[in-house]
Amino acid sequence: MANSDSSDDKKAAEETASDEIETTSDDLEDEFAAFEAEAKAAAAKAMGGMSGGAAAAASGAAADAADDIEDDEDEEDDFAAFEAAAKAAAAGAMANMGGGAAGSGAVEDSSPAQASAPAETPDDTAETEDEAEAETQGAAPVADDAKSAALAAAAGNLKQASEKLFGAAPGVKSQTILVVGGGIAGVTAALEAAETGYDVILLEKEAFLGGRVTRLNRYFPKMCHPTCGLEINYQRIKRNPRLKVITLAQVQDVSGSRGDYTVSVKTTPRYTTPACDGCGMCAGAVESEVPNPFNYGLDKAKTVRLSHEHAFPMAYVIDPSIIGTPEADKVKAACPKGAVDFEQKEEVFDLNIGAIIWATGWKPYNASKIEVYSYDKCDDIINNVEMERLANHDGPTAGKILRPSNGEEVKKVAMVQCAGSRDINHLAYCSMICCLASLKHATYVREQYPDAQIDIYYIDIRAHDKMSQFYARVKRDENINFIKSKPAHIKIGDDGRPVVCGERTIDRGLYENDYDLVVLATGMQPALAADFAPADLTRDEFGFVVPSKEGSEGQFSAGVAGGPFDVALSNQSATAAALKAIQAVRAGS
Amino acid sequence: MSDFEKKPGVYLCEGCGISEAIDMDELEEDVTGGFDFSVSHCRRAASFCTGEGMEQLKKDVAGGEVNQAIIAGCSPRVMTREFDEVGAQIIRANLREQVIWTQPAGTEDTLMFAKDNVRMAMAQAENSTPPTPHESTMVSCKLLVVGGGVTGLSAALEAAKTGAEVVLVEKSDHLGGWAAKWSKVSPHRPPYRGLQDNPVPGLIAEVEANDAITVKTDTIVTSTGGMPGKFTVKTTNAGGEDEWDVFGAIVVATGWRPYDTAKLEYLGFGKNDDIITDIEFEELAANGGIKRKSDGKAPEIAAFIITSDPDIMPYSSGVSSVVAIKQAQMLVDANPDAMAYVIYEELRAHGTTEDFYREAQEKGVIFQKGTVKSVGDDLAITVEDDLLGQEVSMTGLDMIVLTTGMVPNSTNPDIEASDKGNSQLKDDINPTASFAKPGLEVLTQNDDEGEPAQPGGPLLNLQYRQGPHIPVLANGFTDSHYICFPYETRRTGIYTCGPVRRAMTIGEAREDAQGAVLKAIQSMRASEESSAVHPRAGDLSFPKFGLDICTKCRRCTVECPFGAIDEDEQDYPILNPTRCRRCGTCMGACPVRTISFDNYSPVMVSEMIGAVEMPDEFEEKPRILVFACENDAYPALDMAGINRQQMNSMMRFIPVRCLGSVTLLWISTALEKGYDGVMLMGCKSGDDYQCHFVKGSAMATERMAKVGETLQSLMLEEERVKVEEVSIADSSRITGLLNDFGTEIEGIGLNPFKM
Repeated sequence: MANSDSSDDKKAAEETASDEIETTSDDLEDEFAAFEAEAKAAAAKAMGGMSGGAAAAASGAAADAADDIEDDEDEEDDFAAFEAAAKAAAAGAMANMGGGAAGSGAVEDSSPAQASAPAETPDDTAETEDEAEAETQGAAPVADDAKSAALAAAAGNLKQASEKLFGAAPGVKSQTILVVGGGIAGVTAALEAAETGYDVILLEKEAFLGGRVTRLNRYFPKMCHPTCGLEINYQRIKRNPRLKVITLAQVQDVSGSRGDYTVSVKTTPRYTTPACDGCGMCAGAVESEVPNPFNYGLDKAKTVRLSHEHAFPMAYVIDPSIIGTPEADKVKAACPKGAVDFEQKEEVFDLNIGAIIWATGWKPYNASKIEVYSYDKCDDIINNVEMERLANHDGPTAGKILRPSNGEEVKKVAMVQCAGSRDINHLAYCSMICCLASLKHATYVREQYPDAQIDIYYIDIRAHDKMSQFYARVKRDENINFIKSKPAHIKIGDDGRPVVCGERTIDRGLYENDYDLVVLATGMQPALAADFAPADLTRDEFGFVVPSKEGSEGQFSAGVAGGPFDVALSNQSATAAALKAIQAVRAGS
Repeated sequence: MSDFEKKPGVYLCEGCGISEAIDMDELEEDVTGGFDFSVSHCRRAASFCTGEGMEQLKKDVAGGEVNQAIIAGCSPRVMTREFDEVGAQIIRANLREQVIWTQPAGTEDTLMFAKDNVRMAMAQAENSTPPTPHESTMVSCKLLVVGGGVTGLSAALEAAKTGAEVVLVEKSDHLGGWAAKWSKVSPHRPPYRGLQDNPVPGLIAEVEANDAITVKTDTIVTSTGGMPGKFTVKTTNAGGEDEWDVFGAIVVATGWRPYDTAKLEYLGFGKNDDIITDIEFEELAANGGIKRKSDGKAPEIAAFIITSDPDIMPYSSGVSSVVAIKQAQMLVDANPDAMAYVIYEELRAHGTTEDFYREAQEKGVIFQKGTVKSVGDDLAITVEDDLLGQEVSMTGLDMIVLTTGMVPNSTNPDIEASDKGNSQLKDDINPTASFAKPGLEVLTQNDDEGEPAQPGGPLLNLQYRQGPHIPVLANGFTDSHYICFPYETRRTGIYTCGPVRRAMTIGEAREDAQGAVLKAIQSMRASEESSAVHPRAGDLSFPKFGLDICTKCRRCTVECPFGAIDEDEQDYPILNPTRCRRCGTCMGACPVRTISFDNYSPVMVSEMIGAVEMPDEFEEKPRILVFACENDAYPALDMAGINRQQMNSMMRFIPVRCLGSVTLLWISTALEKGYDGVMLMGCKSGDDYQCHFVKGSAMATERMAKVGETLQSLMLEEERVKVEEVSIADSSRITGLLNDFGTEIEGIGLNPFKM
């Protein structure tokens, strides 16, 4: 699809790039001179011009100085114009603010750096001069010669080396990298590859990017908001024409091999066209609702909606259930741009791809499978991803943690660790994030309810490196109790409240504790196999992708597709995956 | 670009309900006649993002009539690429999210808000040009890898595989680092149960056989100058010979060192030859088998203690747990009759390591949860057993192995400590320190004072104004935004990986090296194009310095979060463009406002401030200027609009690259123009700072704390200027915050400087 275009673009880009490189190498001597000697000379000149008094510098000398330093005639006008403007602004400020005294002076005096400057100045100046001496005189001309020779040699080799590093190698039919899954790992992998200069297509099966993390309230241990990092990433996407995002898209089939895969992609209709700019008039025309998938069905959302306030792309999506109803006509009529299109159908198309990164993420382990924990029997027994939505300002309760059964406040909350994980009947591995997530959830509750009591039932608290300090901080909270025990079962009390039952590991004491809310710390299960399982990708017994040992493969995993990772590790693996994919498409076959 | 002859055109979008909420005729009249600004034309359309409007816009640009398109409609966060592809300099006036979605339709105040946003956009256009990129500084795309352990070896191989030429520098006389000493390693690939062969000898052989990799052992980096694309590096070998070379980027893989055993005396270390560290255990295993140092006998019963005293080590790497599990398995593998105990407070066997743990249990290793109270010189251990709730004694042990923990090599302990730049390491590097205190150190601390917090000299000896070290975050690890952007360091073009960044196992370190190599190559690519790296990837603008009025106050060189600006012999600032992340902190720092970008400058924003139509005192319409960080506060404002939250009509917003770029000039300009209040909205500062440029909002807070004196001298109330920390998730709080400030300002009364 996008390949014929992009290869042309690439060729053009490469030509430009090599032009630039040549220019650079030719101009090298000038550049170094500017770097080492001319800057000094220019500064000295400027210094001379300024000796009469700082602000009174003759504009001629200054322009010369600026010109010399930049070594670029074109800049002269800009600089002069800018300086004049800056001076005018500064003068204006002075006149208006200071009365007699210069405005800038007044500001300067009150500034913190100025206050510390006197102490710093003598030492620093000495240091700087010493250093300069060491660089230019002390270490003798030998060092300078050696350095210059090294610079010249490097520059001489630049073009060839650069082509080797950034150029397209022969034998690879497509250099486009496909990233499957638009959660944090997929977004990161796609951006890192695109910003290194490769064409990337990012597929996401939902109507928006961000996956699991965009549904989280905060990240442990910094307690910052996932949308903060996502926003930066979305800005990077918007600025990078090499990266193409296709939402509501899933892979159906993969054939071929490294450098020449044919990937069959199926898209489902959004029922709005790319002309949709998110004005929301369509949503204003409907009343019908469906369980809200963004909030894991904890509340309802309109059939025509922007999935959440931070949705990217910012475009509405229409639930097919309204097709054929009177509301469909209303929606169509409400859109001033004609961006509603009920004629859209499922589409299947092929992409020619050089390397594939599977960033298909995870799903929470189905808590219903742990029958003894009564997840299906009581609304006040929820899982950890639902807890994130309850605490989120954009969630079903506008961020207030309330009992799902009756909307009452919570006073006593239990977190049950390893709900599925570390259990050979469910998930044999440790899911890594759940301990930290529960510690984080405890702080959510404590922030909202100063008197609330929280019990955390655990086997081990696995808080690694920085997280151990977070754990220590949470442990200091007297309202948060850690109970070493894997609960045997959760029953429903006569009043409908959940009752956690079991035996404490330490003193063998039995307990039956009732709560307003029980949060099951369900583990992470790889989502890769759910829709489509690529044939030539090695996976372990749990379904995680095993990195290829060596050689010729062109498919890789990023994030939780490759193991139970937290966000930091997912991003780390996604960056690594971008490198592997680049290696795959630049190598000859 | 001096030949950029501005041809601005204004495009007033009538879609999305804008024309229903705003009298478009009046708005157009203001553009064409009400404001001293000439435009090629002012067009109106039902939408400019698609359809005929877009066609018209493209035609205007293609026909050379317009090269600056001022588009008044939706937020700049929407339809960004669509408009960028038009090919003109795009300036957006946010009428939709910010005005019509937060204001009642059809009122005079709403119209004024809209007019002002368009006026500000026009002033922005008039005072900016599309950025001219800096001349490329790319000289070399060779990669320097510092450290020849498993991480450095992996990095070198991965870079070579990607086509790069590599120089690998190792301070000792051989490659392999600590990991080379291990006879077996924990599993990183399935099966996850048992011990696996050490990959390091294979990696060494591969590196040595690779023509693209030059290995220099017995060598350290003694000087690093220049910038990404052109790092000039001096290496010095054991014989004292210097060599200069040039590199496009640097990967630092200096690894770790074991935690100081002197602090393990409370666990009996030094009392008995058979109380050993985990490293000594490895050495025994690799050199003739696991035998007691005292009598050479194979131990029948051994205990492995996972040390986790927060007073000694504030972080507990999961690695110690994996090592204890591994060594217990090694013991019982070597002698199936032997008994191995692992004593732990927290057993951190993450992910698939659970299988490794399970295997150890199945091999008969006994795991005992408890806190070690004492270890006698007769190898008797007293443990406060968590499971039994009482103290138990363990006697009859033949050997005790203490896990030692990993201290990051953020400095080189083999060379003398530098007396410069210690504040970069202060607090953070000391493993016993609590949380890091990034943020204000360069503002409030003298760079050069104080004892080095950790022995050792700088790894690269950076010839940067801000000192020779790579700044560290908590516990001495050289990282930054470790959740979202794990490879971001505060020294552009220099990427750290392996245990110097975070305690990790061999398998993790090998993958970590791949990520760092990607970032290094990416930074070389950016250097070639003179564009910024993360987070403003692709940005071609860079700060320019007007040296004629520079007072050499050095604030820009000191406050740059990335050490991008050096000083020449005369103390004038010198920019190293590819080190720069384009945040504008230098611009905000400069007291004489002589630092500017082509498309972002003190003058540009001052003109935007002045472009707002200021109601006179009799109209009793206060105006509040809000500087909003474009990464977090501005999106939060947009989202408040998306949620249709109503907001006071007196606010006027200017997005800023970072709160660190806000200069005091803008505050004074605003007050002298008659604004009644000024609010700065930035990101969280402090230990868990969220600023993408490290300390922008911390610096703004610091600067504004001093603005009070200026206000007092003008007989204005200090309360008129306020800094607020706002997160991107504050969409439901932000309008309340603004409305409250509006009420507060109304209480104070109008600015007496109003005309």
